Amino acid sequence: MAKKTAAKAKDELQAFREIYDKVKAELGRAMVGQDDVVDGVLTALFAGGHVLLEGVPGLGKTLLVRSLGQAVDLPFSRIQFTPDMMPADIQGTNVLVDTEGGGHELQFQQGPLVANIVLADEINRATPKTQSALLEAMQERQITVGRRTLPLSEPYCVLATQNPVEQEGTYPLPEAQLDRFLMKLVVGYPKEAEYHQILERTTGSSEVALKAVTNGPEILRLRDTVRSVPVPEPVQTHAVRLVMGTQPGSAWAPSFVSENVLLGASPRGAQGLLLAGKVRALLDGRFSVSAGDVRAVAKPVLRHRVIVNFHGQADGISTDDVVQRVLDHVKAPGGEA
Amino acid sequence: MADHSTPRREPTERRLLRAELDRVARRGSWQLRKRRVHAALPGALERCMPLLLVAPAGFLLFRLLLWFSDAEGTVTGGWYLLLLAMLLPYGLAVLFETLRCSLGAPDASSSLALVDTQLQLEGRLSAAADFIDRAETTPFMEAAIEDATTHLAQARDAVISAKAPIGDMSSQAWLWPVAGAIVLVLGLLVPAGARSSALASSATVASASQAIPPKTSERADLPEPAPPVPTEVPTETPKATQRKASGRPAQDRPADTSDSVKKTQGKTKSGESTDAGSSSGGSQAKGDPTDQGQPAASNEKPRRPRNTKPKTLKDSVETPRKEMKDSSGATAGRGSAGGSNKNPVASEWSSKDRVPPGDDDGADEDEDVDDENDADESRGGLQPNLRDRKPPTSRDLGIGFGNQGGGEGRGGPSERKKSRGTASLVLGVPVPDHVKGQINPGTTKITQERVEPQPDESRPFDAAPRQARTLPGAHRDQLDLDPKARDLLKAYFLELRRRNTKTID
Repeated sequence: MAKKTAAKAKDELQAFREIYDKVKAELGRAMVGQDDVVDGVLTALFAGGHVLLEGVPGLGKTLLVRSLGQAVDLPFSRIQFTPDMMPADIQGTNVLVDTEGGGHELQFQQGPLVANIVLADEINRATPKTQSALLEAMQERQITVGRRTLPLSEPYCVLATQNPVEQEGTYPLPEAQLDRFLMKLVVGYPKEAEYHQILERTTGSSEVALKAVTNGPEILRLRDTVRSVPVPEPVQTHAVRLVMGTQPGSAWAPSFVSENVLLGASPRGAQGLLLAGKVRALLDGRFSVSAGDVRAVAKPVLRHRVIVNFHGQADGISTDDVVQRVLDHVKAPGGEA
Repeated sequence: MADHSTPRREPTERRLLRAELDRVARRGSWQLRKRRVHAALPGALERCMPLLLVAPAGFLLFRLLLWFSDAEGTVTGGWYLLLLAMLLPYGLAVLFETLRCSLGAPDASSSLALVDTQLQLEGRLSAAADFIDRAETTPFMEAAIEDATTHLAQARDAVISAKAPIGDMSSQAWLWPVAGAIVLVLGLLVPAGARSSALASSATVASASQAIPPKTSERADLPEPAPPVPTEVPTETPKATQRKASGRPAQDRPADTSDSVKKTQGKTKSGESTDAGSSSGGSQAKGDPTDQGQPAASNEKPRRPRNTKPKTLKDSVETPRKEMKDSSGATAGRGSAGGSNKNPVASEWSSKDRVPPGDDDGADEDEDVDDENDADESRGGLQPNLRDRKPPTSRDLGIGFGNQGGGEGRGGPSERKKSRGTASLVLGVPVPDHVKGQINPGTTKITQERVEPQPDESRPFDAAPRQARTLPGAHRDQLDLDPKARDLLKAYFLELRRRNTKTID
């Protein structure tokens, strides 16, 4: 009996890896390089979370998300946020339409938020009111327009982008809302060899047409597979200690954190560590999460949940530095880093 | 989510697997202990550093005690005992600390985690050890246990020899042994034996050195002392003779220094000597009363030592000018302005090549130098003093209630004008702004008086109905009439007026 269940788990793991590799390979036809970012996006997709992409314009963020929508055969929508955008612009609104017989009635027209893969470009340029409408959809998987509540179909994944420069006139996301993103991925410049590939693909006459390699129900099934991966108690304790290490004043926080951190990660951070660690364990062909998996996803999961205080900002300390210090301070089980 | 729980494995399999894992864990626990000792060692070494100061401090105290109590005593055993006293407590303390940290067997999960890390099994063994003891397992847990079983053989046979890195101590910890060495050296510097005997021996040495006279040859080599400075006796003058006659002994007079000395000290004016004095003779004996009825010098105000630096640019200009006059004899180009105080041409720049500025060696900073006057004179004429500048005269007409507002208006007395221009140079007389005399009020005089409205009684007026109009009506717009009708109308009204005029008359 145990062998049957173990075989089932192996099949699920094998299926997961196959679909993951297919989607990644399909994305690789459109995207050049950015392997870490692609892995992060797919990890968030299969873990059931959302992603915050930060990078300067022109690095392929929109292309990545659009290609993802094509590869997984899910409705994709793009929202370019502007300061004058209202919640109704993204949620939808009631419009007066003509009916047969000459009458009129109000009909709800859905906004771009009603999709499976949503690209929210420059989310920090939207007003807090509009941001809250988006964040309600992210957290509750539903939108509320007047008295109408619309559930959003799963899988639902929001990929928001943020420009690290040109912050004037923007509305930075508050910490409580940043916490809703599973990961924050920093999109960097491509390497020199990748530049040549990009130019060949984008300035030539041929266009790359992506095909769907999976669909929504399959992604939902794989999400169940991810959640089935068990976490040993020492690993869970280690994840908890890592999160506590980011909180100033806690028993596991080094003095560096107490001096330079204003606010640490919340329990959502521990959830994110475990979910992302499970995906990583499956990709590695293992049936359980290890401390190494948790430590490997610590930076993308925790970097946007930690707030550096003024003292740390004055010293040029980034959140990545804080997370690294915590990783150095909190040893993995067995005493090994 | 569907329930993936499955029944546990067979007890036999479970026991065997558990035993295998425990065996591997025991191998790992030994390495883990070693790692713990290595991790604890730097901390123990650092914490026990203060003990290195105990023995040297005790040694120093012992030596000081002997010294102050005048007792004789030494430390037997020498260096070896001292070093042993220093290092033994320290070593014992370090050993105790490290053994304390290594006490207690590490738990199996930590040991298995160490084995996982060493063999790069990514936590398979520790996960299996955790899942195997659970009441219910999921398919993934079973798969994890099965996965770990395949690696048990590798873990059983592999040599686990983890190198445990020893941590570093803080740099401040090394201050303790340095302090201990310093204290030890101080203790060694304290003289052995009683203090009194030491003092006696040092006194004997000092007295012995004094009793030995220097050799003759050495005396000859010694430099001779400087001869005393001879003091000159001032030559007697008739005034001095008179003073003697007054009965004052000469030796009571203060000894005057020579002119050369005084000159170097700057106590005389140039061209004078100490013997020079007024005809009254009172200047020579300063402070001493005379019977000549002349005021003593002491009653006069003490003269300020003359400033060798020229007070003003004028002085500096005049002196070199005079020299140049004497040397060349040419006066062209100078005119009357040469040497004049009010020479507008004379300036610092013009005199720059003639007179070098004097030294400030003898400058007395306490002197009151009127820099403003000097500047004014160099620029020619009285210059406006901006410091106490008053606001300009108001040019308002001065219309105000009760002449408030302070408008002085044009004319009227005003303060004295500043002298400007060459006119002031020529005359050198202040030109007043007005001529004193009768004030001419002018042809017009504007006064304004404020009159408050006063209530006034008036007769009441009874309203009456309007009477019919007797006179012709008011002007009406001219009608568009032809000329004949217009003439007729005009004649009519003229006749009517003629008739009414007759009636009024």
